Amino acid sequence: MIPALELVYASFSLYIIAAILALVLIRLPHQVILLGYGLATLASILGLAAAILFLLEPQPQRVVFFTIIDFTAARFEILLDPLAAFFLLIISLGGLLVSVYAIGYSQQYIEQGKNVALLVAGYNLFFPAMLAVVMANNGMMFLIAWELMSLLSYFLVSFEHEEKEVRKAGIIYIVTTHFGTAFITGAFLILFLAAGQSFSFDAFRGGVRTNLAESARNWVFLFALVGFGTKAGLMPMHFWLPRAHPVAPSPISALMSGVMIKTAIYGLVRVSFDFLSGQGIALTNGGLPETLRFIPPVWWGTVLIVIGLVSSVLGILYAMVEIDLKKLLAFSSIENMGIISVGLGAALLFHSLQIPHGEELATLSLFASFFHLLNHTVFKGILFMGAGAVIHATHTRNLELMGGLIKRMKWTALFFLVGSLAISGLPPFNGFVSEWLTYQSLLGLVAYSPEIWQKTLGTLALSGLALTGALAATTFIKIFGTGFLGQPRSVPASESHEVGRSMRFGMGLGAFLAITLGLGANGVLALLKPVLEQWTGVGSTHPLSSNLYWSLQSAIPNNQTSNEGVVPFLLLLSLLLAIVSWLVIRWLLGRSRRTVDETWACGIELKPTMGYNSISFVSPLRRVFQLVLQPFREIKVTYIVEPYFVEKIEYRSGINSLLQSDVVKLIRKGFSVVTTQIKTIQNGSIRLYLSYILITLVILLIFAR
Amino acid sequence: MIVNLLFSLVGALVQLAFVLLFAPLVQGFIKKIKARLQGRRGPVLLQQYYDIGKYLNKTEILSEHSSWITRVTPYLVFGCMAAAAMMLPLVGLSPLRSADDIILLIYIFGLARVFTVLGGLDAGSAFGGMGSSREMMVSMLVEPGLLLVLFASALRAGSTGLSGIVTHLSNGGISTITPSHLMCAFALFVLIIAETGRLPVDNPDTHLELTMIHEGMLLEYSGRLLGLMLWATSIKQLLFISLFVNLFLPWGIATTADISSLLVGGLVYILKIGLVAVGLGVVEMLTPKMRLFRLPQFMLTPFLVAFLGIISDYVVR
Repeated sequence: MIPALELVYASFSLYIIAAILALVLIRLPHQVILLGYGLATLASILGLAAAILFLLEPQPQRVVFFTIIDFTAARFEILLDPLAAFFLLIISLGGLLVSVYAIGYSQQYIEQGKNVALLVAGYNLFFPAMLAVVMANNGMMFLIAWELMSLLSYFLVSFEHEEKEVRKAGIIYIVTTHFGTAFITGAFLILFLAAGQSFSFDAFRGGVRTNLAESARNWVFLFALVGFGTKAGLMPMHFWLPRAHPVAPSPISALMSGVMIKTAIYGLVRVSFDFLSGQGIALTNGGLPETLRFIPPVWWGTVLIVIGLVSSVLGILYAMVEIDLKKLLAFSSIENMGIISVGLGAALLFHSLQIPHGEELATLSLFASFFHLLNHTVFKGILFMGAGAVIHATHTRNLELMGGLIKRMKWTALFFLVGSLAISGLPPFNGFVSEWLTYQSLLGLVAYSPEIWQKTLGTLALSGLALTGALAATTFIKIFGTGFLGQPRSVPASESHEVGRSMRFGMGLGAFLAITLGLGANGVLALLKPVLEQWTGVGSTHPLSSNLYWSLQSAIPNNQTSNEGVVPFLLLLSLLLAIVSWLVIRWLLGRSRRTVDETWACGIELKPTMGYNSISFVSPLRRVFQLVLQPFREIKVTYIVEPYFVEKIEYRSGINSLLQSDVVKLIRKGFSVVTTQIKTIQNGSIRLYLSYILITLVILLIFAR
Repeated sequence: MIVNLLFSLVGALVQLAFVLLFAPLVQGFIKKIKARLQGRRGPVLLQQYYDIGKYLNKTEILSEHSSWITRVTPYLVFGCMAAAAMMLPLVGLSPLRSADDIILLIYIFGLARVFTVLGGLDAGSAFGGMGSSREMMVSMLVEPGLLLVLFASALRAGSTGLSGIVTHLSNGGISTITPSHLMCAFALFVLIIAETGRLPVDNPDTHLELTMIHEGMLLEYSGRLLGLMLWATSIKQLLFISLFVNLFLPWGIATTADISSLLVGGLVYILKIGLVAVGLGVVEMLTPKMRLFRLPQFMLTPFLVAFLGIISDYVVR
């Protein structure tokens, strides 16, 4: 057995031990927090080590975990292949960032008299569930783990169940997630039949290749898309996400947004690349002959790109106008999942097109997609943790009640700024690299695809991505500018304080990673290489495999310049030049004389209400996008004596969220129509029910005759 | 390897010095042209240098509500502009050839913009916020079009490296001028007007409530910090004009590093910059400031033209 798998086992068991310990020590909340999260930190370090070890020297490993019945359908197996290892990396990384942070964050629940042990136990069980999802080699085990993950996250979401909003969000989440699970189950059942009635993933692979018609493959893809798309929060199946993520405790929000929804991407990749198109190196008994490779239809990739684009543009638009800090971040997760699926869609499309350089371009797109996945875990982690710190200090999620926090929460502000810059895709942070890679792969789509509509799609995607980038920058400037800068707009904001050491450590580690991954993108490539090779069969001879980073101009034809090496240094250039210019100017002109005075407000005293708040900041953009956002504004004036003496003025403004309200309303209406019809057969009379039984019995007797 | 690196570093520093010194002159030149066209005499050509020099030596007055963002922003913005100045091909090809990526360039400008906007919000005044909010709206309108224009050139040249694009275009001769080329040139010209904060999008000479975008964000700066911001603004303007001339009128640019071609390249470059500066002055004279909410329609034009520019390359063949 290789060390990687032992480490995985150790990590698994540590999580479970921590959960059990938490439940045993239920009366000692302080110890539970320290022990539970401490062990979780240790476990995630082990998982991280396992993933890195495995990815640097991959050997597919399979282990029969345990067997319930000796029956092929229910043999639970763990499989560690490069794809699974990459997601092990993501989950463990998220765990590492959040666990340390959670030590400090959870203290407040002790003061509130909540049962912290349950939170710690649920938290620690959440990881093995997610790990089981990505390492299952059996459909049944996958579904059980998937369900476990969903249920655990439901319990964690409803941790603060005293509030009505939380309960409601929990219900919506659990219903939606089961809607998704139903579709995944559907997809797996089709595969089960094709595989000769086996739930083993190996049988899936073999069965699909030998006896699954193209139409059936299409159904499997669609089912998987709906099922996993729901979990990933892709539009229009996203509506649960901005409700459920914000109400959970902040470490949980960070995990759900940063880690859990990625398991949906894992499922989508596993089904569409591995099972359906057989692009993977066969890990099964006996390799896969070239002739059995299935070329996915063009519309698969196209649909993914379109859904991804819609999700990213609309997701960030809704994020932009949101004033609830955590809801905003949740909407931004929809955007990022959109960008990731654009990359996935492009990769599928390149597989379908069968064009020269297609394999390389598919590799590039997948790299962009997976890199963004990793990046999103890092910066969404920072941002949710930062939001948690801010909420911890100000006791509100409402951006309008913040302001001026940079003075009182220096470190949190700095880390939040780094996260904001990274998620806006600005150099030298990690978001820039993945955004850049996505641009390059889409440029490849425009340059190489044979048909005009594909080129137009590529161009649309490029402009959509550019728009998304600009809107993301606006959104995160809005948070930082109105939340952390200016004057405090409420009493709690003016009395806020910096958070404790463990919380700062989590955010700081994230900020450090954001810049490391940006400058050390070559290292990420080295880690991802086996994952990419698994899906494209591009070997080590390919230019992408050696020094992909920054020589990526080869993504477009007739490449004339070669970019090697120095770029990471150049990414830092602007920061370096800033320091240099400061030094030079100081050397030439001496120390600057400086006086501090009030902000000029045309001669009157500056009030906090006079500064721009988050609604006014985006108000011009709200107007530009009124077609989508449908902003409304109501002013209601009540008079004592009309029209002179005003009693009060009520002002209400907001947006009509198109997809969130109308579509859901329509579905709800449809449901209620159907259920009222069905209700008539259930009128409460026992005699009627007895006659139903009688009729059923008669019918059964006739058929069973 | 080391020699090459050293050589390009020296080249980059020379280019940086050139941009730092030349940029205020271009600003002064545009102002002069505009004044003359309006029948005024206008400030002297070197006024921008006097202004920057004066501000650099004055006392800074900072708002008590502001944080380190205000103090760091001017240096960061200046640093971003300097980095961009080292990356772009100006007289010759870019000295930092291995990193002259167009996407990197746009995002470095983006980094500068983010900090400028944050600086506008830092003091908590209504004016700064107004400028910041409007700046983000304009940037949202500009960015997709700008990237599309650059992508159109990149696709034609088969490289996202600026030097590669410029070489490809200047070697292409008359065949360079395609419908796509002309459309994108038009689009970029309009985008430059918006990006450098000129009429009809923004008025660089005033900070009235109705017009201010860029100047609004600078209201709380003073002394050395203001001087740096002004300087950075004029550098940004010069860089965008250079981007335009080198992408769409690339002829004459020095593609080798010998003295004679550099001399010719330099002369041609200054001539081209002068031409575009006159063009900007004429546009400023002819157009009044546009209402803020007319801008989306106005900025949609370059975006659509650029979009069609990319597509037309594949249709017209």
